[in-house]
Amino acid sequence: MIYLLVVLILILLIIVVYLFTDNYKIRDEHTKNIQKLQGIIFSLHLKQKHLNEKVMITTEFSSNYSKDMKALGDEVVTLQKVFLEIISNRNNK
Amino acid sequence: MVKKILLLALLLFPFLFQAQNAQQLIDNLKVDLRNNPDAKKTATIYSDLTWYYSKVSIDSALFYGEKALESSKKLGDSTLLSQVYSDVGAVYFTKGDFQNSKINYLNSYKIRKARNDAKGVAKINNNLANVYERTFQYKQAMSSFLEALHYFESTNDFKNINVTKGNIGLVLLKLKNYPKALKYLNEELKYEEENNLPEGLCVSCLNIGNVYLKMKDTINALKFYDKSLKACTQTGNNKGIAVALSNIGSVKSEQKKSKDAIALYAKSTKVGAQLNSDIDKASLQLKLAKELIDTKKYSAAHQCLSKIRIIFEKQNSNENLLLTYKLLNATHAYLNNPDSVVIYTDKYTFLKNKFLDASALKQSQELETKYQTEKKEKLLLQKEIEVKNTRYKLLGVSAIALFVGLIGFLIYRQQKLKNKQQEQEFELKSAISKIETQNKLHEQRLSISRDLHDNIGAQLTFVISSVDNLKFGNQITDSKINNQLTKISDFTKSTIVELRDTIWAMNTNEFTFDDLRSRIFNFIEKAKSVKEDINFKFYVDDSLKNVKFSSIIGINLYRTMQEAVNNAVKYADATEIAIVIESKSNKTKIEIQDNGKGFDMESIDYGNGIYNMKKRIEEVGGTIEINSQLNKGTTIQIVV
Repeated sequence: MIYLLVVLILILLIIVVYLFTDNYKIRDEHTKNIQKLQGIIFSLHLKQKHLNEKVMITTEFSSNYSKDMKALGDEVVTLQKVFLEIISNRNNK
Repeated sequence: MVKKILLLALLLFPFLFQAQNAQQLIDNLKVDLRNNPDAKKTATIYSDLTWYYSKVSIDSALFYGEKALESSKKLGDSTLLSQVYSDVGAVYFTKGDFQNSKINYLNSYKIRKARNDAKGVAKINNNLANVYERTFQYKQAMSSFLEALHYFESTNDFKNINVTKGNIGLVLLKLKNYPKALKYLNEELKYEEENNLPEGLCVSCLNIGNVYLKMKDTINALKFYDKSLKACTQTGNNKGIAVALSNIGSVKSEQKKSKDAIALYAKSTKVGAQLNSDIDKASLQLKLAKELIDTKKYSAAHQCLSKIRIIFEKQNSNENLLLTYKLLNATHAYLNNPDSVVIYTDKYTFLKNKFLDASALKQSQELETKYQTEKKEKLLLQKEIEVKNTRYKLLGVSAIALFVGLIGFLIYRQQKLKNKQQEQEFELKSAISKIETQNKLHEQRLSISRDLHDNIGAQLTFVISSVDNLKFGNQITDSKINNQLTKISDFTKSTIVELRDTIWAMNTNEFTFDDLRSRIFNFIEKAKSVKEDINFKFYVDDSLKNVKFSSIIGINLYRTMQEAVNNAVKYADATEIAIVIESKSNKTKIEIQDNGKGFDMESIDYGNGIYNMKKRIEEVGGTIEINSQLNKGTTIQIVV
């Protein structure tokens, strides 16, 4: 009976040790997975940051371009006015 | 009278079948012997015949015993020889010849001792102890019995344990310790009843009956003698039957029923005659003589006692001899022979003193007490071991319970951990997927933007080309138109430059100061085409050469520096422009200096250019400081 108990205790001890080791392995694996995922998130975040900056630059350019185009339009209108002025002066002569 | 007849009939009936079992076995062995078996088998058959005849006919037993000894000696088989010696010893014991019995047992003992046959030695010890008991050597008898008992207990040989206990009971009976004797004999009886051993029951019941008889409890004595008689008849033990009948006769004698007693003695004599045991015959004669004295037939009693006295003296049967002397004393007293009375009184006293040797009795009792003490100590030790075992078992069961609990907890914790980890991983994967989607969206937007920028660049180039064609192809002389066309062309060119700068910033993720320098130099080169006497310096501290910054910081710094240089060239008429980039308290300091005409910082109204510079630097988390004095140039300091 005592021998049986000792054998049983030994088996249970092995199971406990196995569970502890397994637990440690799971934690370790999880830590690695999380680190990997965090690395991916970091690189994606960096990429996102760069893309955002580029979007900002593009947006700024678009804004400036609109203003420039408006100004260019004004200049073209002014030129048209000069042309009209010259043509009307010629006709008056 | 009817009752007496029935009792006698009942007692006589089994004799018709007596010795049937033993006789059957003997007949079978004789058939085997006639079939000419080999030497070893023959010796074994002789040995078995010796044993079975010891219960039926002592003379025949001794005859076959001699043959068995002769054959086993020829064979040189020590195991068989020791067994034959033991069997022959048993035959002599039954015959009442204790001297020869002892010699044969000792021969067997020597062989078994030499062969280290512990079980055989223990059995012989038991037999020798019986001889010692019969010859009133109680101390030796008890010592041998206890030695044998010790061995049988160590091997858990329950049959022999109980036989030995029965024998110890006999010694205690002789020592007149009746309660203890009963205790031992009852233990033997219980075992034999439980295991249905009629041969053992024959002897043990007889002995228990003897104890009760000594205690004057004739009812119980008779009860056990009857039991013994049945068991002995069942197994064909003639000696047992003879003794049982004789003892029942003794009970009748105690009950003053002389006629019944004499009848039973006669039957016992008849059965005993088959055995041819001198001692048993003489014992019966002794009992008969007692009855003759009780019935006042002194002369007949005297004749009988004189005959058996010689036998008892020859066989050293001291117990019987003592009673013989006592009865002879009484007979001579009744017959008025004073000299003989004196002689037998002296003989009786001498023998009694010899038997009741106080020290021998005490030592035997001590031995038994020692055995009992040892036994109790052993029991205590066993109990202690049992308690220890129980404690260990409890500890073991507790440990198992603890481990099971621990395993349960570990499995639960592991499951919980797995769930938590899965949740965390799921959250992170969701975040990754979200960011990836956003990034894809941004990439698509930027891709569209690039296409648009290419298209815009082509359109602007077309506008410049058209304006230049218009201007130089038609040889326009009108200054107003010329100025306006030049203005449109310059404006469009500056938009293209801005577009190119934007594309430059969009195509790179990270910038260094070297990238900025080459870009600024491009710009300066164009400025030089308008104004040639500009001396331009660009200095970057070595520690900052490898510093990288993002495209938004890069484009803002570039635009700020471009604006500053543009102002120096366009408005300050500077001939010396220097850009110095240094490290300052973990930050980067950019200083743009010119030797232009400067301006009064209090009176000047800052235009869009300076406002934009401040806004851009603030956007990238830096500071800008502008210092200018009239005719002493301007210094712009940027810290990021």
